[in-house]
Amino acid sequence: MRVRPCGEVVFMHGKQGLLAIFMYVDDLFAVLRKFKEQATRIETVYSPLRLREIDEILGKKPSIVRFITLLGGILGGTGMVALAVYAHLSFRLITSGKPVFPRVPWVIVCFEGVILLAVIFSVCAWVLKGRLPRARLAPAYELRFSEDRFGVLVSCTDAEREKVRAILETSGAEEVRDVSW
Amino acid sequence: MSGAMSKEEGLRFSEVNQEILRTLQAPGRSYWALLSLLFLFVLFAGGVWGYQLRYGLGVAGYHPAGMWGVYLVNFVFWIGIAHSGTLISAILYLFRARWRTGISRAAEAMTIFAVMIAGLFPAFIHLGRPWVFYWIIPYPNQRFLWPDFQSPLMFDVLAVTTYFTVSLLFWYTGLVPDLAAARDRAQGLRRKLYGLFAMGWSGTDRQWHHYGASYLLLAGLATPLVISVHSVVSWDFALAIIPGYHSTIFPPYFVAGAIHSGLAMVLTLLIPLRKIFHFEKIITLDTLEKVAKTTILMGLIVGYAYAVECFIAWYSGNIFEKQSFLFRAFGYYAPLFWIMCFCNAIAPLAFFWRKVRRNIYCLFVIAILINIGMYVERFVIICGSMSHDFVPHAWGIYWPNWVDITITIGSFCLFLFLFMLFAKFLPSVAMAEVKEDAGPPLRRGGVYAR
Amino acid sequence: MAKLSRRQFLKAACLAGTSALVGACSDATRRLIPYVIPPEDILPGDATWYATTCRECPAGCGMLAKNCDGRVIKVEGNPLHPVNTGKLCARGQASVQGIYNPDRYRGPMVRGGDGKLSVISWESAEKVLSDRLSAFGSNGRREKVVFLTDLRTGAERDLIGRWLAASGSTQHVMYEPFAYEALRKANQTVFGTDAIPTYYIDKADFLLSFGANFLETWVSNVQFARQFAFFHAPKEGKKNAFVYVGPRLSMTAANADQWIMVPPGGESVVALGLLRLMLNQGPETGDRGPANNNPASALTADERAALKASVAPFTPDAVKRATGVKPDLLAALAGQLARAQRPLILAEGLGYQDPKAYETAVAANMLCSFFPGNLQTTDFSSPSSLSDVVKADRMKALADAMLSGEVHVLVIDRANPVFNLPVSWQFEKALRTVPMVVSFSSYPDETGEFAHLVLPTNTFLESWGDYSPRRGVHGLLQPVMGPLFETRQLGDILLSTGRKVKPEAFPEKDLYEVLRKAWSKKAKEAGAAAPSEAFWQESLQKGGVWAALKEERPARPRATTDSLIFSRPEASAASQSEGLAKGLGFIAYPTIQFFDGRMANRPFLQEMPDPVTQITWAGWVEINPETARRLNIEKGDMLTVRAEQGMVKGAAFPYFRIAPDTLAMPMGHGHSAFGRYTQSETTNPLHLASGRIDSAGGVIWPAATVAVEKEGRVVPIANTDGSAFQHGRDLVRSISLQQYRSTMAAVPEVTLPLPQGWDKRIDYYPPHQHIDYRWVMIVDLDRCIGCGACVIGCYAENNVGVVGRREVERGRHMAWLNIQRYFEADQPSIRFLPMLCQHCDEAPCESVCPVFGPQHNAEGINNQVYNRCIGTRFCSQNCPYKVRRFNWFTWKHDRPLQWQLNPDVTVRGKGVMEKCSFCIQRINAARIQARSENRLIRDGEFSPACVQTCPADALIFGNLLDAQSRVSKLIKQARAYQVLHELNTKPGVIYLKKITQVLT
Repeated sequence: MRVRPCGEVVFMHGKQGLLAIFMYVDDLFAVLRKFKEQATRIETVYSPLRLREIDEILGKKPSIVRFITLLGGILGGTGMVALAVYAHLSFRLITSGKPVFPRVPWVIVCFEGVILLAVIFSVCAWVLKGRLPRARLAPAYELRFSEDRFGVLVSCTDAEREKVRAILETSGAEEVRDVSW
Repeated sequence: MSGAMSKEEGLRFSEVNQEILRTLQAPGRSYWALLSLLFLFVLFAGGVWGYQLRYGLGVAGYHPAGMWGVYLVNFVFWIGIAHSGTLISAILYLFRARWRTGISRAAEAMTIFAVMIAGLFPAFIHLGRPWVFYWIIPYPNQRFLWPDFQSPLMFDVLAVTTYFTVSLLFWYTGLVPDLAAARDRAQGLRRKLYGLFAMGWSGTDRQWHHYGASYLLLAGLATPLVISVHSVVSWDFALAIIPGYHSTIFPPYFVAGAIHSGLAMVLTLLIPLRKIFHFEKIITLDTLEKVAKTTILMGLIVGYAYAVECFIAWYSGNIFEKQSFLFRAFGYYAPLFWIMCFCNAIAPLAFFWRKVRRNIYCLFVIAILINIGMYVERFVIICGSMSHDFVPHAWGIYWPNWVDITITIGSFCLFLFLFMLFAKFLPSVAMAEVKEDAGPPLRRGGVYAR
Repeated sequence: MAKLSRRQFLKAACLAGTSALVGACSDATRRLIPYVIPPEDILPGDATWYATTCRECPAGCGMLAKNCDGRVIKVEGNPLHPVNTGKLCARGQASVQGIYNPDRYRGPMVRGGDGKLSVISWESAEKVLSDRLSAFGSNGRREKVVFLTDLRTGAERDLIGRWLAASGSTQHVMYEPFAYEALRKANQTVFGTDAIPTYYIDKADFLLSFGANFLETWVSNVQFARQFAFFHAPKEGKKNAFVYVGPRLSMTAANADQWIMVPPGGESVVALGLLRLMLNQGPETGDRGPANNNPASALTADERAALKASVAPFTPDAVKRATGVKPDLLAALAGQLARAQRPLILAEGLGYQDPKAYETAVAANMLCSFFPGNLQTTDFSSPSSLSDVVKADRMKALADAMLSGEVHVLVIDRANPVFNLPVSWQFEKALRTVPMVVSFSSYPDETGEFAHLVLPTNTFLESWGDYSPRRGVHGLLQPVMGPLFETRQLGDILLSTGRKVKPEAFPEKDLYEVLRKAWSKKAKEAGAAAPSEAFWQESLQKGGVWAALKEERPARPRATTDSLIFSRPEASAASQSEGLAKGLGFIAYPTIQFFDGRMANRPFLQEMPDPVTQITWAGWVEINPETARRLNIEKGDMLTVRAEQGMVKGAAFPYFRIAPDTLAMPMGHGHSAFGRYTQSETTNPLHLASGRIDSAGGVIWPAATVAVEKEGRVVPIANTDGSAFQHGRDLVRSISLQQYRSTMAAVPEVTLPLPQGWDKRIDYYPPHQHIDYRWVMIVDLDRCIGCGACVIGCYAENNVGVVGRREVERGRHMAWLNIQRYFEADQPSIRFLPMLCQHCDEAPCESVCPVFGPQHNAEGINNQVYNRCIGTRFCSQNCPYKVRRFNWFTWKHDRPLQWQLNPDVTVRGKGVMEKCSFCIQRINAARIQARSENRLIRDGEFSPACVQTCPADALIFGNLLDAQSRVSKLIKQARAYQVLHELNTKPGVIYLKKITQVLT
């Protein structure tokens, strides 16, 4: 069965390729490795769960999210302390015989600031870096991908199409179909 | 280990979705009845709050010298409840404690609701003039007034808001792939809504890549936060000079207490949930047993804290400390003190017996006991200490009156109300993670486990 | 000029008052002051002070009334006045609530057949009265009109006389419940003068009081408080001793170095036993005592013999049997007395607590007479005006006369016999039989219930007049504001009605003219060189005229001892009652808040905790805890106390310091028709009074024995103290006289609330500087008598809310300054601790507030910013002294009480924390003044309300940065300490330890 996600029309950008759907994860890995050797362009790999092995096979660099998070932390810490300092300097009052500019409380202020902004940055980071949010799902998306099936989308020219299709089918894909986007 | 688990339970990779999304089917009449009942009482409590707003805090049972009543007790209690969630989902995630997956989602939801309710008390219900609560928030304003960042209450504001934001985002992050799954199986409006919150998640390799990195970091950041929040809450008291408050053991003591009550609340909520939704396969007895074991540890820590307080009262040689402890243990509030000791420190020890640990009913009863014990503990500390502080002439005995009690019960109803909504309208178990545990199938047989 | 402007002012003030009354529903404090012609001595928003005389009790203290925008908002003592020298008691401070009392009569009324009062016009009201009067005097029907008032002197008294004369009567009955019959009779017997002398406690070197509560209500309490403070203060390492003999530890007794507990009626036995010991001075009192003042020197041999004979039965053993006072204690007391040079022995001379008041008083006088030095302490040449009031037997006679229909018109002003007289005299019934009863009272009261005609008079703060508390002191009263309601001055009513009866007898236009005439006469007497106008103006500004204190006292008539027969000492209930065989003794005692009950309708006084029991609102029944346990009576049990005369109800209060098998009730409670503030379950204890009259003409009050039973219900008692003991916390400290002597030079353990007070080892943060001032208060616990004048002064100055009984029960009373009372095992067994905001330099309350509600200002004051407060209450939570008060509700001020509010002080609404501000409004006023003269505020230039009114000068306020200020000197005393010093809060309120001494 081939339900179009959300059932909306698919725009043609002229790019096209093949989508193979796998049930067994080892088949998936095998295919991915093969394509990597042949330097075939793997557009997307769909998976219902996170598989670190996929990242390894595709040879992804460590995610930029980590640095964005760090940045958020630094900004948050300094920012919150700056706010507190500004507040106390612009509203000079003595309480409990402590000076207008006390040292100790800044520790807590800073700590909370770090965590808060780091987390916010981190979440924004994965959302945006994951090309989200998006109104429509990719034409290649299959509802099964959120359940128990894996998918590989390979872009290919009409020339290589048959070769690729052969590889896919031999390596245990349940189903292979043309996709264009 | 996960392999073993999935064999044991026999929940296969392919079953996970429909097993869990079952819960999203249209609820029965009894559900709606209970839900509306809870809602009605929440409304009533709201009305009572309005009455208090109109005539002043005096309508509650306050009796100086005790300036803080059960409202503050509720605050600390709910913040405590809020702890287990992030503990389970974050700390145990870092420790790779697989047994958490079944319960983490529900626990996190519990956290969110608990923090929301906890926040209501200091910000609105407990304040003398709630209509100007925003004066605490540090933002440049036309009044040219600023809050005092030295105040423990400012720490509270920062800590609790941070904690709420973080838990919410953490929870949501975990939720997104499952929302996508729900979306793909829903129709009509539901589909649109789930789709909206799933943000068009489609589980591509790049999404999983950044997602995974971020999730790990979030867990890492949430962990120190869990520890810090209740330490900060404990400073509301430890930074005061009142005997019974002024004690350096408070931060660890409060954190342990918080986790203690949190885990108890997890058990209290999940045992019925498990029964109602037939989650025996996902929330396994092993999981509950693990929680019980952790509870023993927390119980021991709390018990130790009690012992230390007693020791310090004697060792300090400070007459105020001594008398305030004696009052706590043998004075007017003594019964509460002993209830607290029994429920928090003694009762959990029963979990040393495997039979008890693995008996659903024992688990449930003891969890309830701990909940009660922890609530009483907060009362004993906050109200008990205040009623006998430095100046004997100012001593006074406090008991909540109908207003305090109604609003308190109201807060419990609100909590259950929200939790029920959650259980019925969101995937109450982290599917993606359960799938990881179950492991996708291999052609050569068996399941893939990293 | 002043006179003219005064007229204008009064016009304007009347306008202000009435117009505000018309718009009473709108917030009167918001409206403009409707001055038609602005008088030149009134500036809007600027207070004017007028000198007058306090008439709340016969003491007649001088008063300064603060008038702001046409309304009196505060009263303070008149510093020039010889009686109180600038101080006032709690009652005086609360007197303003007399004007604004919501229950006041708003205008003249007549009682219809249905017993209801209906409003009529002044003209017709006065006509009713004058018509009735004109029937008398002329046609031989004389003495049918009786004028019943409290103590009056001067012009008003003369006018009343003339008014009565016009209607052919001379019966002006001046009734005071406390007429001191026994005391006066005893003075007659021993010193040949039926009067109450002027006492000079400060001149004495040993003070012995037989139940005389001179610090509370006895004769002239403010004056005595001042004198006592001087008497009791340590002088070159010595301290005069004060011994109190009485059945319960009253506030006065609490200030004694030793309280000797006797059962009711035991006073006379002890006094006579002491007299006997003094008479035959044996070796037991040894040393120089007898040598110096051998009784023989005062008496002839046979007199002495006669006296000896009459006191023979009072052997130490007899005394012990009767009162439980041990012989050695008695001997020690005799020794003390014998060693004294100028002892003063006071007897209450009232039957309320002591059924043998007369004998006690005689014995006391005899003892006094033994000491030539004693002459320094009493002055019969200027007797108290109280000597003029009628004795109780006269009231009995009056009641009988009324019953037998001899009285046709009874006119009553400021007297409430129905409340104060024994029920058995049937004064109520008597009133019913009188054809016409006219009440001039400003408030509805028990006696007014029976008035056919109510002609409400101005309160004393609204009227002209003069009053002399004792010979040689003439105080002036002037209206300090226009009459608030449709009321008139008594004098004016008398004139207008009198004129209708006998025009020629009343030439004067109004009371003012009467007064002026009287005072121009005074001017001549005083031989004032100045013309009477100048004399008048000066007197008006000073508040009266008085002769300078003369140091030497005129010789006192020699004591006579003839015809002294004393009743035999019979064993009392206390000494020999196991079980309930003999029943319980009962006493009713006047309290400093309520005097005889005439001030019970002042909410301030109702809310003020009783000094020793700390109970507010409604009365109680004191009972010794042991006795209570035996009868299994708990605190709050509603009791019914029965005697043959009747029964009273009250909630039980176990009191540690009352004689066993004795019940005691405070007077002034249990009003049945005295307005909203006086309602309570407690009934009037005076209903237990036996109707019997003693030899002195006073009533014998306590029924010999009473029976008590529990009603079964429990009534919560609204006492403000959480615990009656210190629990070893050493908050109120005291040192023995020996220690005091030995440690004089020592350095006190005080952490100065100044940068000097900082110490690296205990302070993490650096010190902060103060600019020009560091305000601190010194509280001398050795001087504080616990009278609570400061508390009410604070209430009045700072608009402190009155919360009512229900809220006090919940510990929500708002007193910024409260006098904490702690019981001690050893004598003196009560310690008073005035507790107010300590204005700490490291105030725990400040940094816990998230919004800077409380902060520290450059002058060391802990500011509380009401508008900023959001009500987290953390500050109060964290205040170790628990002196912060939270507004649980918006406390209401029953109209027109809100007109008393001080416009210089914010009125706090619900949800806001408040506390003592050291009267910052006064500091600012002083600062503005100083700045305009471009100098710093001088020491003592101003003082907070509490300090200002303290009769014992126990509170001293000043600037610690000024090395010359009194506080800077006092703080160096070895006695200085800070409460909860160990917390290192660096309090700005420094206490001086109480000095105790054991009598041997």
